[in-house]
Amino acid sequence: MGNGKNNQLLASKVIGIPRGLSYYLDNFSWEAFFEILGYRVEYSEDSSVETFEAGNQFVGSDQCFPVKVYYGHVIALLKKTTTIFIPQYTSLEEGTYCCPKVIGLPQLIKNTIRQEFNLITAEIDLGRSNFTRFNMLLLARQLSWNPFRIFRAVTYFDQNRKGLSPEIPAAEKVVGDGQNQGNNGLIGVVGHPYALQDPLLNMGILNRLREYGFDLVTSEQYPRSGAQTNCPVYFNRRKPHWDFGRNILYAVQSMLQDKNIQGIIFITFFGCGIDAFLEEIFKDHICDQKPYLSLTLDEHSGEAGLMTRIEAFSDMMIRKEGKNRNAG
Amino acid sequence: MQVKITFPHAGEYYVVFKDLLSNLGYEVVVPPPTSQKTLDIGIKYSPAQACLPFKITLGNLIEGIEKGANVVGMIGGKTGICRLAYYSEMYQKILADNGYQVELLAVKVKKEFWVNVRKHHPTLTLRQFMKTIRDFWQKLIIFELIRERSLELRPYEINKGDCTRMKQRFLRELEQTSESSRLKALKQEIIKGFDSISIDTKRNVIKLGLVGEFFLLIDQFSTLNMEEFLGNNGVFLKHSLRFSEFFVGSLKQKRFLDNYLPTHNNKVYKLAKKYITRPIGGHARESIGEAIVFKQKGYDGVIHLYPFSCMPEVVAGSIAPKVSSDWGIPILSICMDEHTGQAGFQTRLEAFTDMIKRKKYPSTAVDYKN
Repeated sequence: MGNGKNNQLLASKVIGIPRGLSYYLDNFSWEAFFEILGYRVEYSEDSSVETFEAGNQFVGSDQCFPVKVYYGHVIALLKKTTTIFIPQYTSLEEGTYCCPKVIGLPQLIKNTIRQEFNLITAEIDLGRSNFTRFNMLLLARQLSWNPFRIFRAVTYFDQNRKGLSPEIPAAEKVVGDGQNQGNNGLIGVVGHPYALQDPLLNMGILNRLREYGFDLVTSEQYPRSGAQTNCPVYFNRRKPHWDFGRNILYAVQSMLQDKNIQGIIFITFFGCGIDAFLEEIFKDHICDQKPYLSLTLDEHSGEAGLMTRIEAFSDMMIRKEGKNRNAG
Repeated sequence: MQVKITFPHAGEYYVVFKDLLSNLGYEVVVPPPTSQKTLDIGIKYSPAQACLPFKITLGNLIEGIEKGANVVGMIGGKTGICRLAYYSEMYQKILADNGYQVELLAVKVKKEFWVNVRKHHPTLTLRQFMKTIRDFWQKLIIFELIRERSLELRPYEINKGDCTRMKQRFLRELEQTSESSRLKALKQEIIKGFDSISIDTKRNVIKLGLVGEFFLLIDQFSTLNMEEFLGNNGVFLKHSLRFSEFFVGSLKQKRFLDNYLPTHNNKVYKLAKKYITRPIGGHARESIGEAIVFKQKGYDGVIHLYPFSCMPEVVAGSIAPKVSSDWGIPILSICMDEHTGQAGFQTRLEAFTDMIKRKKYPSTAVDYKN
């Protein structure tokens, strides 16, 4: 790594960031960061079936659906630019880890896509701020020769890093604006950020639920706070060390205590290792108290089957609600 | 209350762990050998997408508890990025939900182990404890010697089954030996015993390395007796990872040494650095690095095994083709789950070994045209 060493990189001046996985988890503006260094950021388009199919030939068959779609985004970006930036998130707070696939993502992409391109990456471990700052410095050095710009970029990252930190919920990015439109009740939707935000991954479930007249609360509106996430029953008082595992467990716990939330939907993907264990932990607790629907999705999920299940769930909710009204 | 302990099987390692726990004063209930029934029990109780090792070990534990155990020994775990860290919590939850009230004992090289054992046996002194651990370590090393020798000699043996018989004999002897003074003599006996097997060194044998998820490397049930099958097909097998290494692998001191001193693992990490820059959990980084080390040592190919939905090894498995083409080493990545059929699995292995054999010994290759 050195300043100005990578001529091809400097020439293109456009950096592509795929719209998948870690894109959804941070509020940090990479656009501003790269603009300081003199680069323009280009995000890939929203996911579509074509995106997925373009990337599918490079993916190992046992990867999970979000990773497969991520490949598609990278391929789509490679048509526009030759430089891709993939942040390597390893941890969002001290003592936690992201999913192993997310940690290994830049190397995975680099070593599996058989096409020439520049991949720039930086390891971001928010539990170790000096280490992260150093990595950002290396990243900035790669892109610019100007020490002032490098300094400004690193300072910018340092100051705005709070956007990445666990205390602030990522509520600003919550899909849709429908507030209090529905009259059928409030549903909690739990899942990883990409599962909640990417309409290809979740097959537009959130909008469909709104069409059925439900108000939604997603797990993203709950903080990923370290201190508050005490899991009294789940995991034997031991916190899960996956960042989003904590978020999901905390959200489920809060939703169970919240009387307004009448049902919980959990969106997961086939092959997601973290969710397999998490669901086993909280499934029984939810089923004892509230209607619960668990959706395991992958690229073969049929729309009709999904609709049937959601309809059955919403019918159940509405009927339950009606009963309560009559009783009251 | 009489403390009866059970623990999951991992290959034939129960021989060693049974001894460790009984020397610490426990009454040991060894679960019945892993079978289809064990797996069925495991599948019934575990989450559908849990990995194969979890299902098998849970089945073992339930079978052990049904035989009367009331404490469960969990070997390793609690650290690391992958799901292994939560195995013990999941065991506890699932067992409690299904009406098995048991206590969990983490068997590992940490202070925690000593504290927990002390709770069950207040009279145990630290001196005795350390001595037991030392004996256990010696036995583990001897066990691995037996296993390795049998793998090395099997492709050369003239009478089929000699190695297996010899291995069984020594394992039985190792199981019965409890005094540490006998162990040294036993070690010599083992070396002599294996040397006495009549072998044919002129055979066309290929050398393959085994990398991948740790449990699959040692458990013969989940890999459908792969070791014996390959050995009989003229393959010299070598594992990348031993149980003893796994057992101390979570120690901070060892990790420190590996990061800064020129140990074997340090070399592995350096070689893997181009493909996986940092630990991503499990043995993904080791799998990639060890495959390259095998190439450097002159092996003819590498078999990479991992259970379905294992998060770190899926990444390693995806990167494997790139390593293969960069270093010119054939790598066969196989994903195992409870539905893997023996015939299909063996066909893949055969095709792989045949390919390597034909490449290595072109003159002896069978001409299928005639």
